[in-house]
Parts: sequence; C-alpha cells; structure tokens
Amino acid sequence: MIEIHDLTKRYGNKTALDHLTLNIKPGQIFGFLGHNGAGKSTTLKSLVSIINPTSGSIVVDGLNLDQQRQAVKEKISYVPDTPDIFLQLSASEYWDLLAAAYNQSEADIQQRREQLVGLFEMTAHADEPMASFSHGMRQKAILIGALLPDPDIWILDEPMQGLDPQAAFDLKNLMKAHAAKGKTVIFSTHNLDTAQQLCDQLAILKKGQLIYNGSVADLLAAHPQESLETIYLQMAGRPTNDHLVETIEGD
Amino acid sequence: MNKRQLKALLAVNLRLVNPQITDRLRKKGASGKTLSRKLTHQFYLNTILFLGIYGLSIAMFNLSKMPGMFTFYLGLFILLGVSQSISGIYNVFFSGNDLVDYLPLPFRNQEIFISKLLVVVFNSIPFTTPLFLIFMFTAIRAHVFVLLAILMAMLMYVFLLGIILAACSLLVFGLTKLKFFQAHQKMVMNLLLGLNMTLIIGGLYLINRSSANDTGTSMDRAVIKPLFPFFKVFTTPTSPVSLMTWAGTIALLLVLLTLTWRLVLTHLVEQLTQVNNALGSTHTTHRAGHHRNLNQGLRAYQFQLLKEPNLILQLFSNSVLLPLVFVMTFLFSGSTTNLSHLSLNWLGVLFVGGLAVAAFTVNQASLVANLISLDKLNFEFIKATPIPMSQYLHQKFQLGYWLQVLINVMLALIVAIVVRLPFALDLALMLGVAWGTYLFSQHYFIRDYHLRSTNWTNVTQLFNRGSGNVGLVLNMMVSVIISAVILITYSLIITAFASMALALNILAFVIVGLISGGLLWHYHQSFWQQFS
Repeated sequence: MIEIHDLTKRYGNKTALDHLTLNIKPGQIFGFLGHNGAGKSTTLKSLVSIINPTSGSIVVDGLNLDQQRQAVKEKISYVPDTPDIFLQLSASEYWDLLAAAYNQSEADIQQRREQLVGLFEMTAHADEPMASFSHGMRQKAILIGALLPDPDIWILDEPMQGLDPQAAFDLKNLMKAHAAKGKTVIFSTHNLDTAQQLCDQLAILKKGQLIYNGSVADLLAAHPQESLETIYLQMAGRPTNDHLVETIEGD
Repeated sequence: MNKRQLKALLAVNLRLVNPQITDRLRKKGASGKTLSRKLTHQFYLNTILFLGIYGLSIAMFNLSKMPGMFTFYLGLFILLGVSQSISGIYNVFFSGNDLVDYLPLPFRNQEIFISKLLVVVFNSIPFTTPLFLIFMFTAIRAHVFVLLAILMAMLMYVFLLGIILAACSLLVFGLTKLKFFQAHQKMVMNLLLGLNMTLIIGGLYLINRSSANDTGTSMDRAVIKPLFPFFKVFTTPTSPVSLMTWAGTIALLLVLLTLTWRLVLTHLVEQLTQVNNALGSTHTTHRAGHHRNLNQGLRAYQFQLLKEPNLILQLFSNSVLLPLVFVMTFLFSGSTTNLSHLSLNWLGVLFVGGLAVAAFTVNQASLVANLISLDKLNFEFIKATPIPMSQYLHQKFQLGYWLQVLINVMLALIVAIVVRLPFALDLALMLGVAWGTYLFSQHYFIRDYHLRSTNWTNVTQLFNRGSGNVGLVLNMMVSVIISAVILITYSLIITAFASMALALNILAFVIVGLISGGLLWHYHQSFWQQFS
C-alpha cells in the first residue's frame, strides 16, 4: 500500500503539486493522467526520491520514505520519462548495475534477464553503448533494467514512449501480470486508450491538483455515452479549442 | 558498505573518467567485465609508465645532495596532482551529470560518493606516484634504514595526496556554494577549468624561474624555500624541522579533512543534485527572439554549442596551451632572440612561417574540426528543414575559422613581440597564419563532416576519431619536421642569394598561391559543391 498524504512541491512561486492525497493498493495498475505540467512526473519523481517534496508525506508498505528511504527504494523500480541515462554504459553493463543495485546475484536473475532481453528483442544489441541506441532501443534497455530485479512496485513514467507496437503490447501484458500477482504498477501516460485498457484506478491531475481519483469504470459510468477522451478533455482541458483550430487551419 | 554495489559503481565511474579509452576499447569489442578489467589495466600501465620514466631520471640523481632538484620535483608533481584532482572532480562529479540518475536506485549515498572519490584518486595516482619515489630515493641515499625510508615515503605520499584531494574538493565544492555560482554555473565551471590550466602554466613557469638559477658549481637548482622542510624530513628524519614538518603536514591534513567533512560531505547529495540539475538545464535569461532572421538565429545557436566547459577546456589545452608551451620552450630557453634587424627580404620566410604555425595549431582537436559533430542529432534535423545546407555549413565554418584565427594570430603576435620582429615582417607572419588557418580549417572541417558523430557523450571522444591521439601527435610532429625543413631551406636560400630576394619571394608566393588554389578547388569540388 502506498499512502501519499498532502504532498506539495513548489519551485519558487510556482506550485507543481498542490496538497495531493492518494492511496494506491497492492494488486492495482494505477494510472496518472494529465496535461504536460499537470504534476504527473513530479508525483512519480517524489515517489522515487528524485524530488524532495516541499511538504507532505509518502508511506510505502508502512515505511516512511523520509525516514527509511533505502528500504523504500529497494521495493521500487523506476523508468524515467526520458531514457537518456547512463549513456556511457552498454545495455548489458546497465543491467549489471541494476542487478547490483538491487543486490541480486547474476545467477538469480540470469533466466529472467534472458527472457526479458529476448522478449524486447535486444539480444543483438546488449553489448552496444546505449549512446548509440535509437530512442526506442534506449527505452527498451531502461525497461529491461527496471523489470529485471522485479521489486513489488513498478513506477513507469510514460513507459510506452518510443516503443514499437509489439514491445508496447508485451509491456502491457507484463504490467497486467505483475498486478495480477498482487503487486503494484504505477504509470503515467498521455494515451487514453492505454489508460482505459490497463488502469484499475486513475488519478487525473490538473495544474498540480487532483481532479479525479477512482476507477475508469466509475468514470465512464458517471458519463454515459461519452468516450474517455471527451470526459478527460472536459475535466482537464480548456473549455473549447475549436475556434483556435479553425484560426490556425482555416476552413 | 556493500562491496558488490561499490564495485558496480566503480565500473561505471571508470568509464566516466576515461571516455576516450572506453570508446577505443569498445571499438575493439570490449564490454562489461572485460572492459572494466582493461580500464583498470590502463590505470596500472599509466602508473608503471610514470614510475618508470620518472623513476629512472630520479634514481640517476642523488637527491639527498640536491635540495633544489628535490624541491623542484616536489613542486612539479604537487602541481600535476592538483591539476588532475580538479579535472577529475569536475569529470566525475559534474561533467557526467549523472547523480540524479542514481537517486531512484537503492544505492547508499556513501557508496555513490566513495566510488566517485576513489575514481578521482585513481585518476591522480599515476601522476603523483613519482612523489613516493622522490621521497624514498632521497631517504635511501641519505642512508636512512631502507624499510623506514619506504614507510616514511609511503606515509608522506598518502598525506600529501590527501591534502591535495581535500584542498581541491574544498575549492570545487566551495565554489558551487557561492550564490554567484548558482546564478552563472557554466561560466564558473569554465573559469575553474581555465584557472586549473593557468595554475599549471603559471606554476611551471614560477617553479622553473625560481629554481633555474644555477647555483654555480653544482648541477643543482635553487631551492624552493616553502618546500625545503620536506627535504629535511627525508635527509635528517630526526631533526626538529623534520618532526615539525610531519606534525604540520598531519595537522593540515586533519584540518582539511574536517573542513571537507563538515562543509562538503554532509550536504553533498542535495548540493550536487542541485548543481547537476542546474548544469543540465538550459535556462536562459534571454527570450527567444520571434523577429530574428535566420542568420541571427543560427548564429545564436552556433554560439550556444560552445558553452560546454569540457569543450572549452580541451580547446584551451589543444589550441592555446600546447602551442604556447611549445613556443615558450624555444623562446625562453636561452638568451632572448632579437630579430629586429631582419630586412624585408624575409617577408616570404615569415609568411611561410605563419603557414607552418597554422599547420601545427589546426588539428583534429581544434574547434573547427569538431563543430559539425557538436550538433549531434540537430545536424540531421537541420538537413530535414528548408534551411540551406550551404548557408548553414558556411556559417559554421566561418565561426570555427574566426575563433581559430583569433587564437593563432594572438599566438603569432606574442612571438612577434618577444622576438622584436619589424612591423612588416610581423604582418607577413600574421597573414601567413591567417591564410594557413583558412586552408587547414577547410581540411579539418570537411574531415569532421565525413567522420561526424552524433552519439558522443563526452567531447573528448570527438578528438579521438580517425587516427586517434597517436595520429594527432604524429601529425604535429610531421608538421614540425616538414615546416622546419622548408623554413630552413628557404632561409638559407634567402641568405645566400640576398640580391635576388624579391624574385625568390615572388616565386615562393606563386608556389603557395598555386598550392592554395589547388586545395581550394579540391575542397570546393569534393565538398562545398554538393550543397550549392
């Protein structure tokens, strides 16, 4: 169980996250939706210790993040919103680093590593430096690194970005299987279809504030005959953009 | 402390501190543990190389009888240690910009920092181990019991290395705490690296000047007084001065370590994360100009590419420092050269001399030889836009050329002033430099286009393309030899046939003109034409 209580992050006068309170239960796929700058990445980065919140608390399985950071980190693996990290390493060196970080011996994870590398079709590229990879290949390498230690909680910031349809499909199945084992997947996305397919619970953020927290089914039930896209845009978007589109594109 | 995690982190940082070697080894197929092993072997090799080269020369002297030479070497290797530590701290803690990437991983902060500090120490050891030899040989030659000599040498070496590292850490991390740094991070980093270079040049000059005065009868140099107590430590270990020096060294080390712990280590995570974020961001106070024309926009972009501290350091080192050291070695080694009596007969020789200076200074590590690759993937993107490639590349070339010519002309001017060249000859030298820089810049600019790299992570990887460092040095040597042969021959001819100097100079200009014309035609046909 992850308990986020009254989480606020300010950068000078700008509030990126405004008193966010949420509970995420095990066995769930929990999605964050919101426009750019809504606070999705700030929330996820706070959960993985990249950002120190201005106020509020995060408790993971009874462990307070501020007080037991190391123990919390061991429970979480993370995929950042851009895969441009550790570019000086080869993919296989990056996976070795991740295995060491989570204290797993090579023997322990050998089979899982081969399976993941095979699944994402990275076998031929394992020894190449990540700096030479395309965006999609970097994303795959980072995903393999995050899924390799198999901790209880996966936190994935826009994980489908750059992935080919096969890899995206496989990742969705992996996320479902992880949640089915009673573990937790938290991810952010801009893709409403993906959110609709995967999420057990959804949080919609707008300008740092939580504007919806509940299941996708409940949201759809509350707005019969409307698509998730329409509902989302009504909640998080501007009142109407039609006149702007007409102005830009003419007739 | 988890040893496996520390080892994994060390492996990452070893790659970070040696991007050029890592790149070269990767091209040979090394990866993972093999690569780590080879990088470690490289460290041992460097240490042995330094020990071998300096060990032999140090062993030849009886330093126990040459306090001047002792203090000279001590000063030299302390300076090298300081330089290596500052650049190591910069490369490992700042240039890598990777601290944020570690934050989500279950590594302990102390493991991350110890692994980084260890790599900085590894980086400094090869350049400072001769200190250990100096201490040991001096003590042994002063008839100190061998085991005691080794123990004393080892202890003093470790203490001095500790002092150097702690002092450098305080300097670098202290800078990052300044409000001025937080407002102008990149500029302060550039200044720091520039300061590092200036320290080395200035230090070497001062050491050389202070100890160059021959003492008359002996081969020894003059003693550098502040370092003299260390000589006493190894020649008369039980003297009061020696004991006080030990006490002073240990006290200084303890003070610096305490300050480092209190001021640096306790807030390092927050501080470095903040610095890394700041260095990584492209925050600018200028608003994007909506009304700029294409030329202004592109020029602003080209200048942005140059704001990388490591690039500036390398440029300074390759384009300014190396030629300057080379020139200074010649000019200041003996009595001052005075060429004020040279007649206009020497116009051609000076002009060709300028071409030779350009051949030496423009190389694969020059700015103009890397400007296209600095674009990374932006270059491919620009190709996809309606921006004319010819205009874009010409603008890029001009930026590289003018910066290079500015540096080279300044160097030529320094030489001209020092050797008191008459104005006309001075002008000929600078014209030769400017024209030679143009021709060689064209060659290296085109070379960069053909070898362009879009996925480099450290700018030093760019300098390693093609024939690598060996090629760079060979190229410089060949330039020097060919230039020397041409200049000596030309000078002899001018001296021998002074009455025909005008005709000879005209002939030389015609030859230079023909070769230049041929080269320009070749560059146009093989490169520029495709973008027209």
